[in-house]
Amino acid sequence: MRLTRERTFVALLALLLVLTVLGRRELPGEEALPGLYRSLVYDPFLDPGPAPAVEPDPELRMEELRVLADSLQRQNRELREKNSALEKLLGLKSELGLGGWAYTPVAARVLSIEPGTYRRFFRISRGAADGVAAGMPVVDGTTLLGIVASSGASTALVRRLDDPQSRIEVEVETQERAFPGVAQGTGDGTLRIRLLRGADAVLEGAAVFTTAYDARVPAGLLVGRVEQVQDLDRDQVLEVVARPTAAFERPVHVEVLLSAEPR
Amino acid sequence: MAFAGLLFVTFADTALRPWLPGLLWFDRAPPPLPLLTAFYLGSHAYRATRPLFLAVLLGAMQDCFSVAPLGYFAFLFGLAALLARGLNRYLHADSGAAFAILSLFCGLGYAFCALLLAVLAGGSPHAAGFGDSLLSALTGALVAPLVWRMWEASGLFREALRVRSYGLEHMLR
Repeated sequence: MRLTRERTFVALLALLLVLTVLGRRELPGEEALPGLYRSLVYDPFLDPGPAPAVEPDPELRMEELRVLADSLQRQNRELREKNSALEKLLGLKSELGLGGWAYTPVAARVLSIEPGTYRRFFRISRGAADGVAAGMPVVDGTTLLGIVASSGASTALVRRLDDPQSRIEVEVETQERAFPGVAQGTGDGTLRIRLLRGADAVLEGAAVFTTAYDARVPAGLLVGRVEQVQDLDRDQVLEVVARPTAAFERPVHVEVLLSAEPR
Repeated sequence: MAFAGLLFVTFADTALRPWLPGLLWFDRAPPPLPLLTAFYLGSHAYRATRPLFLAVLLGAMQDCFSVAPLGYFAFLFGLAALLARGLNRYLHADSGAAFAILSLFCGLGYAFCALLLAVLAGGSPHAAGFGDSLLSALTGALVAPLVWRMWEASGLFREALRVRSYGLEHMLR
């Protein structure tokens, strides 16, 4: 009996050997196996290949992310503070540059340069519907371009500084003091400013700014620079020829200062 | 119960294989728990054949969980049990340490047999993972005392134990 069992066992082993050699299973690729089966299957013929990369420790990874989050929050806080400081600076600049006037700048696009031999006008894309009204200053940054002459529903006509009918109260700054005067357009691209006696110190290149005496415009806007100082009629009142700083032909976008009322 | 024990070992080994700890650079060769069980059965077989059949059954279960050719593990486990039974005459596995030594030698023999069989079955020596089998023999020998203690204490293989007692008595006569 025992001998029979041993023979049976040996026969079984031989059968298994034959099965093994001849019965290699053709199975689909590992990717085609169901997930559960793939996790349970074991292939003794499979070349395990290089050892898998060591997964980073989750706690270490969490700590790294926490440090990163802290760093980002700190940067965010610094940027907010910086932004706040810059906003304050901007507010200060507007107060200093525009003489403390409360205004609401409205951006507008220059639609056209109005034709005419003597007239100097251009049309912008904002009108009464946007709050634009006659007498409002039009600027390019801190440079005065002109004054709104009339406004339609959606467009407005702006009189340039060098228009012959343009009158702006200005002051010419020198090293000692500022001399007030009235800038008048000439139609040839220049401004003529008549200064009162005592303005001998005005030199060529001096800056011309708007003044607080003109209720229509905020003080401190740049108007132009002095090109020539003369007294042709010898009446002791100097005539200054200034060239506007504004590049009238170039700007595509301008700003209209709405509600230019003192604070 | 013996069948349930074999099924549990097979399933646990297959399912936990990716997480079974290796030894430093032996990560690719976790201890082969079913193979150690086959060694245990073989070392307790003495003149009986039932433990050998149990080892074949264990290998057949392993076949169910593998993509190896059908009968691959059944044949190898039966052969391993036969080898353990033969070696048990010289290295009598009556303690955990003795079983560890027996497992080491059996594991080396198993590795060579597995290599030959893999080549016969169409695999290449490289694909057969001969190096991993050798490492498995080593890691298996390290945990062999635990496996031996587990089966001794569980009494799941009472037939094997009964055979061993019978064999010991027979040897003492």
